[in-house]
Amino acid sequence: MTDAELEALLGRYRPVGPGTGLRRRLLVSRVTQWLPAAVAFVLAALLYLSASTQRLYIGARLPAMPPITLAPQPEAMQQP
Amino acid sequence: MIHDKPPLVRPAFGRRAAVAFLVLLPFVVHGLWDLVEARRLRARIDAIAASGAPMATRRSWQLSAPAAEADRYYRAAAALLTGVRIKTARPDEYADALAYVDRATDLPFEGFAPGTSYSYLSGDMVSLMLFCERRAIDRAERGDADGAFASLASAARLTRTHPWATTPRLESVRRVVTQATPSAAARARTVRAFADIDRPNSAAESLMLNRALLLEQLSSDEVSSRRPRIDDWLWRPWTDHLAVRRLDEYAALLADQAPPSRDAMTDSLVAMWGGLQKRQAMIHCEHHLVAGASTVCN
Repeated sequence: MTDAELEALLGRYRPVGPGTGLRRRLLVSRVTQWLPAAVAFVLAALLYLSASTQRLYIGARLPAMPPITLAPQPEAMQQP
Repeated sequence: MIHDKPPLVRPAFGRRAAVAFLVLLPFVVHGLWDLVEARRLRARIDAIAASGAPMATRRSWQLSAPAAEADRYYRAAAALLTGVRIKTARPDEYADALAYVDRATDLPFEGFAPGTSYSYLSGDMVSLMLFCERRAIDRAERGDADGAFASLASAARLTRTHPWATTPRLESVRRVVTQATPSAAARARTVRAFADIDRPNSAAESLMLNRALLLEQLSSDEVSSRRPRIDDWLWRPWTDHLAVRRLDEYAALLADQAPPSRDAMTDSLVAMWGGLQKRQAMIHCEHHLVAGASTVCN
Protein backbone atom coordinates (compact mmCIF):
# COMPACT_ATOMS: atom_id res chain seq x y z
CA MET A 1 0.00 0.00 0.00
CA THR A 2 1.44 3.32 -1.06
CA ASP A 3 1.31 6.54 0.88
CA ALA A 4 -1.34 7.93 -1.41
CA GLU A 5 -3.55 4.88 -0.94
CA LEU A 6 -3.07 5.08 2.81
CA GLU A 7 -4.01 8.80 2.78
CA ALA A 8 -7.14 8.06 0.81
CA LEU A 9 -8.12 5.26 3.20
CA LEU A 10 -7.64 7.50 6.29
CA GLY A 11 -9.56 10.26 4.58
CA ARG A 12 -12.60 8.06 4.41
CA TYR A 13 -12.57 7.64 8.20
CA ARG A 14 -11.38 11.13 9.24
CA PRO A 15 -13.22 12.09 12.49
CA VAL A 16 -15.62 14.96 12.08
CA GLY A 17 -15.06 17.99 14.44
CA PRO A 18 -17.68 20.44 15.58
CA GLY A 19 -19.30 22.27 12.78
CA THR A 20 -18.61 25.93 12.10
CA GLY A 21 -22.12 26.79 13.21
CA LEU A 22 -21.51 25.46 16.72
CA ARG A 23 -18.33 27.50 17.06
CA ARG A 24 -20.18 30.65 16.02
CA ARG A 25 -23.04 29.94 18.41
CA LEU A 26 -20.58 29.46 21.27
CA LEU A 27 -18.80 32.71 20.43
CA VAL A 28 -22.03 34.68 20.18
CA SER A 29 -23.22 33.28 23.50
CA ARG A 30 -20.00 34.29 25.28
CA VAL A 31 -19.90 37.71 23.69
CA THR A 32 -23.56 38.33 24.54
CA GLN A 33 -22.94 37.48 28.17
CA TRP A 34 -19.87 39.73 28.46
CA LEU A 35 -21.14 42.54 26.27
CA PRO A 36 -22.76 44.61 29.09
CA ALA A 37 -19.60 44.39 31.19
CA ALA A 38 -17.42 45.32 28.23
CA VAL A 39 -19.67 48.26 27.35
CA ALA A 40 -19.62 49.41 30.99
CA PHE A 41 -15.83 49.23 31.04
CA VAL A 42 -15.39 51.18 27.82
CA LEU A 43 -18.03 53.73 28.84
CA ALA A 44 -16.43 54.30 32.26
CA ALA A 45 -13.01 54.69 30.65
CA LEU A 46 -14.37 57.21 28.11
CA LEU A 47 -16.19 59.20 30.79
CA TYR A 48 -13.13 59.42 33.03
CA LEU A 49 -10.98 60.35 30.04
CA SER A 50 -13.38 63.14 29.06
CA ALA A 51 -13.56 64.41 32.65
CA SER A 52 -9.76 64.41 32.86
CA THR A 53 -9.58 66.42 29.64
CA GLN A 54 -12.00 68.96 31.11
CA ARG A 55 -9.88 69.15 34.24
CA LEU A 56 -6.70 69.70 32.26
CA TYR A 57 -8.44 72.61 30.57
CA ILE A 58 -9.64 73.96 33.92
CA GLY A 59 -6.13 73.63 35.35
CA ALA A 60 -4.76 75.62 32.43
CA ARG A 61 -7.34 78.42 32.92
CA LEU A 62 -6.88 78.71 36.67
CA PRO A 63 -4.16 81.03 37.99
CA ALA A 64 -0.80 79.41 38.42
CA MET A 65 0.39 79.33 42.00
CA PRO A 66 3.68 81.11 42.54
CA PRO A 67 6.84 79.12 43.01
CA ILE A 68 8.05 79.42 46.58
CA THR A 69 11.41 80.57 45.22
CA LEU A 70 9.80 83.96 44.58
CA ALA A 71 9.70 84.52 48.32
CA PRO A 72 12.33 87.00 49.51
CA GLN A 73 15.56 85.33 50.48
CA PRO A 74 17.01 86.05 53.95
CA GLU A 75 19.88 88.16 52.57
CA ALA A 76 17.41 90.24 50.56
CA MET A 77 15.46 90.91 53.74
CA GLN A 78 18.37 92.72 55.36
CA GLN A 79 18.42 96.47 55.27
CA PRO A 80 21.10 97.93 52.97
CA MET B 1 -31.81 14.71 31.93
CA ILE B 2 -32.05 16.00 28.40
CA HIS B 3 -32.49 19.72 27.69
CA ASP B 4 -34.10 21.01 24.56
CA LYS B 5 -31.55 23.81 24.48
CA PRO B 6 -28.52 22.87 26.54
CA PRO B 7 -26.43 25.84 27.78
CA LEU B 8 -23.64 26.62 25.39
CA VAL B 9 -21.25 27.95 28.08
CA ARG B 10 -20.77 27.01 31.68
CA PRO B 11 -23.17 28.85 34.05
CA ALA B 12 -20.19 30.13 36.09
CA PHE B 13 -19.01 31.98 33.01
CA GLY B 14 -22.28 33.89 32.80
CA ARG B 15 -22.26 34.62 36.52
CA ARG B 16 -18.79 36.13 36.29
CA ALA B 17 -19.95 38.40 33.47
CA ALA B 18 -22.90 39.57 35.57
CA VAL B 19 -20.64 40.27 38.57
CA ALA B 20 -18.21 42.18 36.36
CA PHE B 21 -21.06 44.29 35.01
CA LEU B 22 -22.38 45.04 38.50
CA VAL B 23 -18.88 46.00 39.68
CA LEU B 24 -18.34 48.31 36.70
CA LEU B 25 -21.75 49.99 36.87
CA PRO B 26 -20.89 52.33 39.81
CA PHE B 27 -17.77 53.46 37.93
CA VAL B 28 -19.95 54.40 34.94
CA VAL B 29 -22.25 56.44 37.20
CA HIS B 30 -19.29 58.05 39.02
CA GLY B 31 -17.55 58.81 35.72
CA LEU B 32 -20.69 60.41 34.32
CA TRP B 33 -21.11 62.56 37.43
CA ASP B 34 -17.43 63.50 37.27
CA LEU B 35 -17.78 64.61 33.65
CA VAL B 36 -20.97 66.60 34.30
CA GLU B 37 -19.45 68.48 37.25
CA ALA B 38 -16.16 69.11 35.43
CA ARG B 39 -18.07 70.58 32.48
CA ARG B 40 -20.16 72.77 34.78
CA LEU B 41 -17.01 74.03 36.54
CA ARG B 42 -15.32 74.71 33.22
CA ALA B 43 -18.34 76.73 32.05
CA ARG B 44 -18.22 78.88 35.21
CA ILE B 45 -14.47 79.48 34.91
CA ASP B 46 -14.78 80.33 31.22
CA ALA B 47 -17.51 82.84 32.06
CA ILE B 48 -15.35 84.51 34.72
CA ALA B 49 -12.38 84.70 32.35
CA ALA B 50 -14.59 86.08 29.56
CA SER B 51 -15.97 88.78 31.87
CA GLY B 52 -12.46 90.07 32.54
CA ALA B 53 -12.86 89.62 36.29
CA PRO B 54 -9.67 88.82 38.23
CA MET B 55 -8.78 85.14 38.29
CA ALA B 56 -6.04 85.68 40.88
CA THR B 57 -5.65 87.98 43.86
CA ARG B 58 -2.80 89.78 42.12
CA ARG B 59 -1.49 90.35 38.63
CA SER B 60 2.10 89.43 39.30
CA TRP B 61 3.82 87.47 42.04
CA GLN B 62 7.04 89.37 41.49
CA LEU B 63 6.84 92.58 43.50
CA SER B 64 8.32 95.82 42.21
CA ALA B 65 11.10 97.29 44.36
CA PRO B 66 8.98 99.94 46.18
CA ALA B 67 6.12 97.44 46.66
CA ALA B 68 8.60 94.95 48.13
CA GLU B 69 9.64 97.68 50.60
CA ALA B 70 6.00 98.25 51.58
CA ASP B 71 5.53 94.50 52.00
CA ARG B 72 8.55 94.32 54.34
CA TYR B 73 7.45 97.32 56.39
CA TYR B 74 3.93 95.97 56.88
CA ARG B 75 5.19 92.52 57.85
CA ALA B 76 7.76 94.06 60.20
CA ALA B 77 4.95 96.04 61.85
CA ALA B 78 2.88 92.86 62.19
CA ALA B 79 5.83 91.02 63.74
CA LEU B 80 6.11 93.75 66.38
CA LEU B 81 2.47 93.19 67.36
CA THR B 82 3.12 89.67 68.64
CA GLY B 83 1.04 88.98 71.72
CA VAL B 84 -0.80 92.29 71.58
CA ARG B 85 -4.05 92.67 73.51
CA ILE B 86 -5.91 94.89 71.14
CA LYS B 87 -8.64 95.98 73.56
CA THR B 88 -6.31 97.25 76.27
CA ALA B 89 -3.12 98.16 74.40
CA ARG B 90 -2.31 101.82 73.78
CA PRO B 91 -0.91 102.94 70.40
CA ASP B 92 2.20 104.52 71.98
CA GLU B 93 3.21 101.06 73.28
CA TYR B 94 3.53 100.03 69.65
CA ALA B 95 5.14 103.17 68.27
CA ASP B 96 7.82 101.13 66.49
CA ALA B 97 5.22 99.04 64.66
CA LEU B 98 3.26 102.13 63.66
CA ALA B 99 6.47 103.80 62.45
CA TYR B 100 6.87 100.94 59.97
CA VAL B 101 3.24 101.39 58.89
CA ASP B 102 3.87 105.10 58.30
CA ARG B 103 6.93 104.30 56.19
CA ALA B 104 4.83 102.01 54.00
CA THR B 105 1.97 104.50 53.66
CA ASP B 106 3.29 106.42 50.65
CA LEU B 107 4.69 103.33 48.93
CA PRO B 108 2.72 101.26 46.41
CA PHE B 109 1.40 97.96 47.71
CA GLU B 110 1.02 94.94 45.41
CA GLY B 111 0.40 92.25 47.98
CA PHE B 112 2.56 90.27 50.36
CA ALA B 113 5.49 88.36 48.92
CA PRO B 114 4.76 84.71 48.07
CA GLY B 115 5.33 82.36 50.94
CA THR B 116 5.31 85.10 53.59
CA SER B 117 1.60 85.40 54.30
CA TYR B 118 -0.06 83.58 57.19
CA SER B 119 -3.52 83.50 58.64
CA TYR B 120 -2.82 85.87 61.55
CA LEU B 121 -1.30 88.50 59.25
CA SER B 122 -4.76 89.77 58.25
CA GLY B 123 -5.70 90.08 61.91
CA ASP B 124 -2.48 91.99 62.57
CA MET B 125 -3.28 94.39 59.73
CA VAL B 126 -6.71 95.06 61.23
CA SER B 127 -5.08 95.62 64.63
CA LEU B 128 -2.65 98.11 63.06
CA MET B 129 -5.59 99.92 61.45
CA LEU B 130 -7.25 100.22 64.85
CA PHE B 131 -4.03 101.48 66.44
CA CYS B 132 -3.66 104.08 63.69
CA GLU B 133 -7.21 105.28 64.39
CA ARG B 134 -6.57 105.47 68.15
CA ARG B 135 -3.31 107.29 67.54
CA ALA B 136 -5.15 109.76 65.30
CA ILE B 137 -7.66 110.47 68.07
CA ASP B 138 -4.85 110.84 70.66
CA ARG B 139 -2.98 113.27 68.43
CA ALA B 140 -6.12 115.25 67.67
CA GLU B 141 -6.84 115.56 71.39
CA ARG B 142 -3.27 116.74 71.97
CA GLY B 143 -3.66 119.36 69.25
CA ASP B 144 -1.39 117.67 66.71
CA ALA B 145 -3.77 118.08 63.75
CA ASP B 146 -1.25 117.20 61.02
CA GLY B 147 -0.14 114.11 62.95
CA ALA B 148 -3.77 113.05 63.44
CA PHE B 149 -4.51 113.33 59.73
CA ALA B 150 -1.28 111.51 58.88
CA SER B 151 -2.36 108.67 61.13
CA LEU B 152 -5.75 108.54 59.39
CA ALA B 153 -3.92 108.34 56.06
CA SER B 154 -1.89 105.40 57.39
CA ALA B 155 -5.10 103.66 58.49
CA ALA B 156 -6.71 104.26 55.10
CA ARG B 157 -3.69 102.95 53.21
CA LEU B 158 -3.63 99.83 55.41
CA THR B 159 -6.97 98.93 53.80
CA ARG B 160 -4.92 97.86 50.78
CA THR B 161 -3.48 94.94 52.72
CA HIS B 162 -6.85 93.45 53.55
CA PRO B 163 -9.59 94.24 51.01
CA TRP B 164 -12.25 92.55 53.17
CA ALA B 165 -11.48 94.17 56.52
CA THR B 166 -13.97 96.48 58.12
CA THR B 167 -13.10 98.56 61.16
CA PRO B 168 -15.15 101.16 63.03
CA ARG B 169 -13.06 103.86 61.36
CA LEU B 170 -15.90 106.24 60.54
CA GLU B 171 -16.34 107.22 64.18
CA SER B 172 -12.61 107.89 64.53
CA VAL B 173 -12.60 110.02 61.39
CA ARG B 174 -15.55 112.03 62.68
CA ARG B 175 -13.79 112.70 65.99
CA VAL B 176 -10.51 113.69 64.35
CA VAL B 177 -12.16 115.92 61.78
CA THR B 178 -14.18 117.76 64.39
CA GLN B 179 -11.19 118.25 66.72
CA ALA B 180 -8.34 118.94 64.32
CA THR B 181 -7.75 121.44 61.55
CA PRO B 182 -4.67 120.32 59.62
CA SER B 183 -2.46 122.20 57.21
CA ALA B 184 -3.47 122.13 53.57
CA ALA B 185 -0.61 119.75 52.72
CA ALA B 186 -1.49 117.29 55.50
CA ARG B 187 -5.14 117.34 54.50
CA ALA B 188 -4.29 116.86 50.81
CA ARG B 189 -2.13 113.83 51.61
CA THR B 190 -4.91 112.24 53.67
CA VAL B 191 -7.54 113.02 51.03
CA ARG B 192 -5.33 111.30 48.45
CA ALA B 193 -5.09 108.23 50.66
CA PHE B 194 -8.88 108.05 51.00
CA ALA B 195 -9.47 108.85 47.32
CA ASP B 196 -7.40 105.79 46.41
CA ILE B 197 -9.74 103.47 48.29
CA ASP B 198 -12.99 105.36 47.56
CA ARG B 199 -14.15 103.73 44.34
CA PRO B 200 -17.82 103.37 43.32
CA ASN B 201 -17.46 99.64 42.66
CA SER B 202 -14.99 98.79 45.40
CA ALA B 203 -17.44 96.35 47.04
CA ALA B 204 -17.78 94.37 43.80
CA GLU B 205 -14.00 94.51 43.30
CA SER B 206 -13.44 93.12 46.79
CA LEU B 207 -15.99 90.36 46.24
CA MET B 208 -14.33 89.43 42.95
CA LEU B 209 -10.97 89.33 44.74
CA ASN B 210 -12.53 87.04 47.31
CA ARG B 211 -13.76 84.82 44.47
CA ALA B 212 -10.21 84.88 43.05
CA LEU B 213 -9.08 83.42 46.37
CA LEU B 214 -11.48 80.53 45.77
CA LEU B 215 -10.06 80.07 42.27
CA GLU B 216 -6.53 80.03 43.71
CA GLN B 217 -7.67 77.39 46.15
CA LEU B 218 -9.11 75.38 43.25
CA SER B 219 -5.82 75.77 41.41
CA SER B 220 -3.98 74.49 44.45
CA ASP B 221 -6.38 71.51 44.64
CA GLU B 222 -5.82 70.89 40.96
CA VAL B 223 -2.07 70.69 41.55
CA SER B 224 -2.45 68.41 44.56
CA SER B 225 -4.93 66.15 42.71
CA ARG B 226 -2.21 65.28 40.23
CA ARG B 227 -0.88 63.03 42.94
CA PRO B 228 -2.94 59.84 42.77
CA ARG B 229 -5.05 59.77 45.91
CA ILE B 230 -8.07 57.52 45.99
CA ASP B 231 -10.12 59.75 48.30
CA ASP B 232 -9.46 62.86 46.18
CA TRP B 233 -10.54 60.98 43.08
CA LEU B 234 -13.63 59.60 44.77
CA TRP B 235 -14.84 62.95 46.14
CA ARG B 236 -13.73 65.06 43.18
CA PRO B 237 -17.22 65.41 41.61
CA TRP B 238 -18.63 66.49 44.96
CA THR B 239 -15.89 69.07 45.58
CA ASP B 240 -16.46 70.38 42.04
CA HIS B 241 -20.18 70.52 42.73
CA LEU B 242 -19.55 72.64 45.84
CA ALA B 243 -17.16 74.90 43.92
CA VAL B 244 -19.77 75.44 41.19
CA ARG B 245 -22.35 76.28 43.85
CA ARG B 246 -20.01 78.88 45.41
CA LEU B 247 -19.20 80.40 42.03
CA ASP B 248 -22.93 80.64 41.25
CA GLU B 249 -23.46 82.42 44.56
CA TYR B 250 -20.72 84.94 43.77
CA ALA B 251 -22.21 85.50 40.31
CA ALA B 252 -25.68 86.05 41.78
CA LEU B 253 -24.43 88.55 44.37
CA LEU B 254 -22.41 90.47 41.77
CA ALA B 255 -25.57 90.65 39.64
CA ASP B 256 -27.53 91.95 42.68
CA GLN B 257 -29.63 88.79 42.83
CA ALA B 258 -30.37 86.39 45.64
CA PRO B 259 -28.12 83.32 45.66
CA PRO B 260 -29.77 80.27 44.08
CA SER B 261 -29.37 78.11 47.18
CA ARG B 262 -28.78 78.72 50.88
CA ASP B 263 -26.53 77.07 53.42
CA ALA B 264 -24.19 78.26 56.17
CA MET B 265 -21.49 79.21 53.66
CA THR B 266 -24.02 81.15 51.60
CA ASP B 267 -25.13 83.06 54.67
CA SER B 268 -21.56 84.05 55.51
CA LEU B 269 -20.98 85.12 51.88
CA VAL B 270 -24.16 87.20 51.87
CA ALA B 271 -23.11 88.76 55.19
CA MET B 272 -19.69 89.57 53.75
CA TRP B 273 -21.29 91.16 50.68
CA GLY B 274 -23.48 93.30 52.92
CA GLY B 275 -20.40 94.28 54.94
CA LEU B 276 -18.49 95.20 51.79
CA GLN B 277 -21.32 97.40 50.55
CA LYS B 278 -21.51 99.16 53.92
CA ARG B 279 -17.75 99.54 53.87
CA GLN B 280 -17.88 101.12 50.41
CA ALA B 281 -20.44 103.64 51.64
CA MET B 282 -18.40 104.26 54.79
CA ILE B 283 -15.18 104.90 52.87
CA HIS B 284 -17.04 107.30 50.57
CA CYS B 285 -18.31 109.14 53.62
CA GLU B 286 -14.86 109.22 55.27
CA HIS B 287 -13.39 110.59 52.05
CA HIS B 288 -15.85 113.48 52.14
CA LEU B 289 -15.20 114.12 55.82
CA VAL B 290 -11.42 114.32 55.55
CA ALA B 291 -11.82 116.55 52.50
CA GLY B 292 -13.63 119.03 54.75
CA ALA B 293 -17.17 118.45 53.49
CA SER B 294 -19.94 118.60 56.06
CA THR B 295 -21.41 115.27 55.02
CA VAL B 296 -23.80 113.60 57.39
CA CYS B 297 -23.07 109.88 57.27
CA ASN B 298 -25.10 107.10 58.81
